[in-house]
Amino acid sequence: MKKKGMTLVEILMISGLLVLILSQVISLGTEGQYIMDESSKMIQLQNGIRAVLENMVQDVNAAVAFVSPQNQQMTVARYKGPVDDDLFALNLSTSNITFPYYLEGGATVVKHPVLFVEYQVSNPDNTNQNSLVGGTEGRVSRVAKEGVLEAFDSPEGMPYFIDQYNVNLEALTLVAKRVLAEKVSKFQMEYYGYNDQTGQLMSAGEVGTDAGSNALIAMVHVHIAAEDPYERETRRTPTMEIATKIWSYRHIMENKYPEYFGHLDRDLRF
Amino acid sequence: MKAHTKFSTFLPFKGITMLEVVIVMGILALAIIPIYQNIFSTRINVTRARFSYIALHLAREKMEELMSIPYDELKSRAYEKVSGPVVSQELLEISPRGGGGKTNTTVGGVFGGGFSGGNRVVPGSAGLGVIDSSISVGEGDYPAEYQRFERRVEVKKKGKRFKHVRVTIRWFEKGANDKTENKYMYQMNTLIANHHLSAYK
Repeated sequence: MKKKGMTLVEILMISGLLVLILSQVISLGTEGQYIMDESSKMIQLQNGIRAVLENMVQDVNAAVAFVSPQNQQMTVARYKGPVDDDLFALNLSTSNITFPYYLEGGATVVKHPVLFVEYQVSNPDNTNQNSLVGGTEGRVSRVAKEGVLEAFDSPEGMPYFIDQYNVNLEALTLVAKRVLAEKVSKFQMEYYGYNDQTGQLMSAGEVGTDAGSNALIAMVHVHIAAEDPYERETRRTPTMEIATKIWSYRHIMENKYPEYFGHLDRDLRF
Repeated sequence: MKAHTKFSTFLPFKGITMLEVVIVMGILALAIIPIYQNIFSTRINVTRARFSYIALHLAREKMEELMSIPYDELKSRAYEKVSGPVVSQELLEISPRGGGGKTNTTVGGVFGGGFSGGNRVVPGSAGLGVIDSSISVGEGDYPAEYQRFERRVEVKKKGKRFKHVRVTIRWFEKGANDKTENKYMYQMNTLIANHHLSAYK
């Protein structure tokens, strides 16, 4: 043998290098695991927020009216199809000929087949929850029910104009209920409507605080955030947060072109 | 002893030198780099997907906002940082008509106006140059992270009663360099019509 093998110094140096490299490999592995875990959590949070917002945008864009708008819960009635002629409850009275107005003191009613869509976050502190999907805190659910939105002219308002809606809550049929997102830490909604006289956008509180103001609501400002923290506080918390406005196209068009859209839809003389 | 000598003659290698060990370790260390890059690219892609989704909603909400304002108010605007109230004062001041509007319409149901409660999730600073931690973020404002984003509106007249509207969102992931590179952008285009009868003449 020409070589004598390695000296002690060489072995020590190699061992030192090996320890250095191995420690780096282990540290990388741990860090990689953290990142993969964090990324996985982030993707889950993103998927949840995406599911909520994609559905909300579709529902609010197609909304006929905001029913029961609250800060942590929103119900909209959205078009399901065209107005069904069979669902017109016309005045057929021969004695009271104020057609198409009142049937023995009752108003002519136009019945829109609609989908009532409800969004809410489950929260044990909120005692005003109607959702059929609840339970775990921080879950945002969407519950869709088929029903009829009755539109009619109230005796108090301007004659021949639809100015009131009514919903028979007992006659709703459940279509779908789904949990869209979990670990939601914030789900807040703020509503805005158009002033009936000036067409100016204003907060729902300024439009009015009575039940009658709901029909003027045209837009919702949604602030949603989800987070999935780690037990170790030193680790970064995966978070997803979105603040956005969503408009009802019907209200946009009615407000922009009241002479065409609003009156054609609501004027019972046509 | 004889047997041992005989055995050692069968060994194909005579041992490894220090230089060989160092080279092998160097190769091993180099092999770690792509693994490391792969792990970090996952985080980058997830973050980028998050920013893209925020940009999508910034573009959509701007488009809806533009659809809601009067046709004559549609005007181009240079890049503006996304911060402050989600419902701007400017938007609240636009009045499409001077009065004499529709009749009131009512919906039965519980009404709750205003904005209350909730906890802030994103703190005022994310430690990056693009986010100014001195800007206070309140309820009803865009989250601090939205300071990464800038929004531009381009409006061009198309024919007698249409306007071509393009909303561009750009954002900065790392810092000022992204700004010059214009690397991350999201664009949305649409036509907005003037439905007033006078526009058809």
